[in-house]
Amino acid sequence: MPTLLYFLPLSVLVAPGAEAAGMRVTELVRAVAPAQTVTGRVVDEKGQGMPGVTVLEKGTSNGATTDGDGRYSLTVADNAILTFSFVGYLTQEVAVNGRTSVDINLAPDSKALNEVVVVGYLRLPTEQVTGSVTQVNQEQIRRAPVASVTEALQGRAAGVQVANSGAPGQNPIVNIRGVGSIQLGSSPLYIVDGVWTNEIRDINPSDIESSTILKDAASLAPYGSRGANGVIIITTRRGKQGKPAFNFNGYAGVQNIAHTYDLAGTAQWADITRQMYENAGQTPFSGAANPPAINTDWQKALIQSGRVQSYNLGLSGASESANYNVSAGYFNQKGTIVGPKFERYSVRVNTGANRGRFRIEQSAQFSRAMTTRVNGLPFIDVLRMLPIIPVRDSATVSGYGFGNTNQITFGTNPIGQQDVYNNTNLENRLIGSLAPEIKLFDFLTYRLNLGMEYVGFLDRTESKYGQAGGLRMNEPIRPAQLYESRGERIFLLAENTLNFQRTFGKHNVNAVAGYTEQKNTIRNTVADAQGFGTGPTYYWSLGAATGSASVGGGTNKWAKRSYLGQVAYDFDDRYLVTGAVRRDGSSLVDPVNKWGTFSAFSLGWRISREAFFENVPLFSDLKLRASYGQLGNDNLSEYLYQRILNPNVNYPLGGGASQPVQNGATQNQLSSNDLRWEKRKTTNFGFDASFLDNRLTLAADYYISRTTDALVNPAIPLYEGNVGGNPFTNLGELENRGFEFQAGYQNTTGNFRYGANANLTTLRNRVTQLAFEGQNYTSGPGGVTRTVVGQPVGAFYLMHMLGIFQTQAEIDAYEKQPNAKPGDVKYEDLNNDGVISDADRRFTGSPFPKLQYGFNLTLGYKNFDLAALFQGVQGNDIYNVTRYWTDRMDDNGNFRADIRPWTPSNPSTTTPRPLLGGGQNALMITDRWLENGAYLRLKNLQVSYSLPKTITEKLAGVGSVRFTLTAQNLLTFTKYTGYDPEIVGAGSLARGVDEGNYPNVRTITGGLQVGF
Amino acid sequence: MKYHKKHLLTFLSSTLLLTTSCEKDLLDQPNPNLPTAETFWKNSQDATKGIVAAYSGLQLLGNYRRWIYFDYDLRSDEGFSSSPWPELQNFTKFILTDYNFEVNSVTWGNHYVGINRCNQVLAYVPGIQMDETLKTQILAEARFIRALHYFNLVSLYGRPVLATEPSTADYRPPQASSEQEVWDFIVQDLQAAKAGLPVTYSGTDLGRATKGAATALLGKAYMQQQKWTEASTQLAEVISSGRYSLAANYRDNFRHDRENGSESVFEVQFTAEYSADRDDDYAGASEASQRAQFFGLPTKGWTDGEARSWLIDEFLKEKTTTGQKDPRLAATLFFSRNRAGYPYDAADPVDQDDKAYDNQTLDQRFATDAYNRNRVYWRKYENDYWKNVEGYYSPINHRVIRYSDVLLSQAECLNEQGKTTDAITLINLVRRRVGLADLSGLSQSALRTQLMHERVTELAGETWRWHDLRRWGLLDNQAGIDQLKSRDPDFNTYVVGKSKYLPIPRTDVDIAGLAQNPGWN
Repeated sequence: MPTLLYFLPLSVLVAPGAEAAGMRVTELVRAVAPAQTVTGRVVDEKGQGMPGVTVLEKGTSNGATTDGDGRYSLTVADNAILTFSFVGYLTQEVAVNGRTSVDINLAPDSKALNEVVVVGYLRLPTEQVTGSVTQVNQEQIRRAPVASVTEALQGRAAGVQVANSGAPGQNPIVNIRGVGSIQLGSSPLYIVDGVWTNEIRDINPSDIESSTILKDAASLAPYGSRGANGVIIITTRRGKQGKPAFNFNGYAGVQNIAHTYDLAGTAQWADITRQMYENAGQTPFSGAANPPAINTDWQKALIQSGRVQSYNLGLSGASESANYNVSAGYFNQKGTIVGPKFERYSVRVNTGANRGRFRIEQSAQFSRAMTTRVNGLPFIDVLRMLPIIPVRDSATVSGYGFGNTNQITFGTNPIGQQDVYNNTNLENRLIGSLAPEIKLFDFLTYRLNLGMEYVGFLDRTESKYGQAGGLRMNEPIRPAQLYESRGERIFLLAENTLNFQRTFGKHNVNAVAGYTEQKNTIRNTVADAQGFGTGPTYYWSLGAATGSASVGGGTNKWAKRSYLGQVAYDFDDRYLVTGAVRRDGSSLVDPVNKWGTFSAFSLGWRISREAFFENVPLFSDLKLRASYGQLGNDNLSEYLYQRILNPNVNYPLGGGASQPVQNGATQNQLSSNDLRWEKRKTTNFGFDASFLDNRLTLAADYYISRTTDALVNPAIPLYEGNVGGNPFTNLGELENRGFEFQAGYQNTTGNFRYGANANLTTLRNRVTQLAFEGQNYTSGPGGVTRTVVGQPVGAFYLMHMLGIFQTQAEIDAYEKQPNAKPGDVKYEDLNNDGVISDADRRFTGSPFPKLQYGFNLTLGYKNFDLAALFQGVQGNDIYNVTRYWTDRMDDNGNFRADIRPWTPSNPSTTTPRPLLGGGQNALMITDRWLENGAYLRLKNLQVSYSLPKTITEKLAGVGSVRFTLTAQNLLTFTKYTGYDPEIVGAGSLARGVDEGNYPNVRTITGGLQVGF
Repeated sequence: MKYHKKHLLTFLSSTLLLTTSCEKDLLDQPNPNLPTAETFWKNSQDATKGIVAAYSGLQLLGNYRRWIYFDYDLRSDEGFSSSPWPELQNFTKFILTDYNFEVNSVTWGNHYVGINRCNQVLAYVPGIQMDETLKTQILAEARFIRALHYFNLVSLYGRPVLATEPSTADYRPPQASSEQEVWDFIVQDLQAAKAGLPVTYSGTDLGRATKGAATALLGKAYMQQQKWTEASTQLAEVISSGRYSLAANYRDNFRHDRENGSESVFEVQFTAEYSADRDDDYAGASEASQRAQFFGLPTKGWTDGEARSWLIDEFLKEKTTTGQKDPRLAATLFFSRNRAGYPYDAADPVDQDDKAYDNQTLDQRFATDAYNRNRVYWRKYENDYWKNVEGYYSPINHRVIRYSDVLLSQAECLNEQGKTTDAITLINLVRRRVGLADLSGLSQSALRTQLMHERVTELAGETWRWHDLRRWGLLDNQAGIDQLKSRDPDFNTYVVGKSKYLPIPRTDVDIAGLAQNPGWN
């Protein structure tokens, strides 16, 4: 009820009041002087007519817009002053002085390389920006045949790390300037047309007008407790002045997995398996002793050719007082393995209007996205399934083959797993904003930004009879089951801001003060029921269940209240100062620490504006800048600080046949005490330079960011008896530092256009303090990573393999592994205690790339264009869990085809003998599974051809036609032996671990864009 | 102009008002879903719920639901694992490369989950205004359950951490400095429990810990410390209470339809009733045991644990007064009656009782599968007497302490004090139930040996063998280990001075700096 109150009535109230005010202004002006009509033409620097130029009678809202040829007509007072303005051009003022015809030459504004940038709650011209801000243009984003904007950002901007997987409907992991948090969410805040959100998967990339990445404290302080991880501001397209324009763009193509393992066939598998058992003194099971005539290629059975298609249709236009953009999109992706898929419909309506002092902007996107998820770890299971097991086996309850005592493996049939479970997610999402604005004075504007995001979701898993027990050895056979979780999330945002902008001589001041509220509510209902028969026909409705059923659900709310201020000041465009402060109150942290204040300031010096610099011909522009500030991170879930009881810790008492279950209650999960905000302090130094009439641009930044009071939920001692997720505490400090470079060059020579953009990022991530000396957090499968002071988050902590014992004499001489036999792995006694144990571990390798880079090349000749994006990382290592499974040879599973285990006649120095039970041969915590993770990838290659005007003019109503051929992830150069070196990791404390990551897909599409 | 400005200000202030004044307590978001420790622990119902939750701790996977049988029955010389899961096989061979191996870390961790539940009751219930008798009882129950957890922890790990308060994120209770410190702690808890517990329960309270349960466990705790006098004082109290007697039929002790009987001193309650197919703390979740599934014979269960064949020989050492085999043999084990050297006798009830599930013998079931035919399987606590399959939902209560164990334990204490004749009297009570002849005239040391036999035949597969081996000192020297090796080759990889204790899970050594057990560093 209260949420509705503060949200809805405003729009009703605002409209009539503002309209009245606007009319009054016009009437007042008109009363002053006699009117006359002025006509004229506006031309650009080349003398061509400029459409869409705004012509205003100064001091009024009376105005017009030039037509396609640059002509305008306006009735004004005879002593009026006309202002002519257009983005990227210098605004001109001309006194009418009784004339009836005024022609104007507009000159390009050389300092406006781009348009204005939104930084916090201010809109600043780019040359006044003193923080670290990167823009990625929409053309580049739209070039990638992908579902989400974040995927398309990869490799395009310095300091932005994007990790994708190939799973349809995935949400990429995005980090700006490294991992700022040891364990909390490190994802940036996204602001879509003024609405704050945590994910933008379903924002249609085709609707994007611009995306701006804010990286340093000065730019981020206005976002206070959500600023620490960086902010990505997305604005969507609005109608441009002119006639209504229809446009269509679409593409379709195929996707596949570029690299798979070469696995052993039945004969080779059986041979190694027999050795494995015999070396352990055991009798091999019958399937290995006498393999049947089956030779299943599990990868081939799982992997298929996927496809992707995307179609978008839009209508947009604008008059001088209103603009509109309506678009609809469809995206569909069929997975590259059997099962998963993703489909999305979206509709966007953006409108705006202005009248007098009143302006309003509205944006809204509705989307409906359906994902069929990947079940289990299929890229591990294809390695664990034996070639002697058929994919389908009519003897099992599920109809799928899996391990039994004659064909031992604990792998799960990955094909069956995708079929037996149908795990889907449906999200209906409405994200939008309504922002009325009123100019109180020429220098003071009040803006109310009302935003909302509504997500209605349905998670559903249909599990056919034979789930678990029909797919994996020794799992219980469970009845058919239907699980549904249905609910909604509503996020509401109200921002009141007063914007002050005025020039006093050479002093320019741009300032904002604001008050905001946010509220988020999630409600859900969970139902789970069993008993849908044994198929093959199932009626998947909860009402059809005949077995046991259970329900759950609840409501989670958080709210935030904030006060903010932001100032940008410059003297003569030469000396720039900005400052920002935000005070946030939140219900998420412990009430004693409810309020937090975040602030930052920055300085800039445009050397190129100094008199002494005028004689330096090379530079078009040069600006030095520095900033410092403190930001927060409150990516927490609700009620963490509360000591919550589980009301169903039950026990049967009373004996007898009924043995009634009695209700018990206890606090099973520990609470997170004394939670505070995580704070991140960032210092940034940088410069922006441009040369050769802005054809060459260069930006560089160096930053040091320190996170203090890092919120972590480390593993706690098991003796704490915690059940469920571990409690959070503010324990850690960590540091990220790095250089970022961004360079661009554009030029045109005759019919030949060319350009290049390059970016390069270095990153050094270190934990600098934890709760107490020696504190560490262990993570990853088998605990292969460790987070400690002096190491990066999630560092590899492993034993070191020296080689393979070749002879008994070598074992005897070594003394430290007395139970080893020739062919076993030899480890280094790192702690020199004379025995090999898991105390012999050291930090090795790096989970973070030391260097990441992107290189974008564009070439154009007449109607042809070519764009190529190379992207890569250097200096990181990957713990390859997939190779652990193909090479471990101590447990049942398949092997690499090129594995050559040690035998007396094959004295391998890298691969031990097969040995069931394995002793120390196949320990996970060793560097045997660590590999170089560097790669260089041709991420995107696009060739396009536009039909020449001579042809399109003959096609009635068609404005432009463009054909494209696009390849994504076309080529990869790497030494990594797993499926794909681009991994998402196994959680925030094990991001260097490839735990059967769904590999990125190679996509080839053909596309068509038509404008009407 | 004036009007214009005023209009705007009115508009502005009304906007601000609307957006600010709606929710004064916006930042105070109470939990709408569940009670918290602040809102709970207010009345006797809350106290009762707290103690029910504490009992529920005995049902966790690392306790009597699953892994404790691996820790005790399979690591002792009675059993072993030939699971297809190699780490599990290694576990019963005393080989662990990963100290966080599931069985080890869940055993350790789940005991502390249970202890934390007891500690919450002990911390919060004293402050509740409620019936004092019930309050005293609930506190005593909590101390009994906590003592049972520590009994297991000290027996498996030697020097556990002594947690005595409700856990918080930074709670770092001390690690026991010695085994003795833990035993002293257990004794203290059990003495308090004994003082506060009622002698019996009725109605829906049946199954809770009684004074007899606390007394018997206290006796066993003293006994493990070889404090024979103190132990026999306690055990004598249980015997003289007259509350307990042996069930007429030995097998009634392992059935779901003869639970909480006269022989039962303390049981962990299980039932197959559940509505939600999950075994965590959830409405309608399983309250059942998984032992039967994990020890069940191939095609019926996972057979992750099985019995050593010397157990059969042990049962065959004596015949009943009517010349038949010890009936406990058929109650304890499944095995092929055609196994080499087995004295099959078609007329013997033990050999007639050779069918399990689907009315089949192992010879019929595994006619062409010699390997599975010749294995020896646990029958105790399996559901073959009423079902043809096993599953994750076995309703059979686990009898933690049976009266026959009390009798045999007291016999041992008396014998150790030189009261051999008194001891024999008690042993004979246990023997008579299964038709064995009375013992007489044994020397102290002969009876010591005889008792080893008596305890195996009566209690095999009931978790006590490990405690017995420990108490008899067989785990402390190579001579003892050599003896065990002859029965169970798993002991070939037992290392004296190391394998008696499980390693403390790596997590707790790494994070909390606990002292690792000797030999495991």
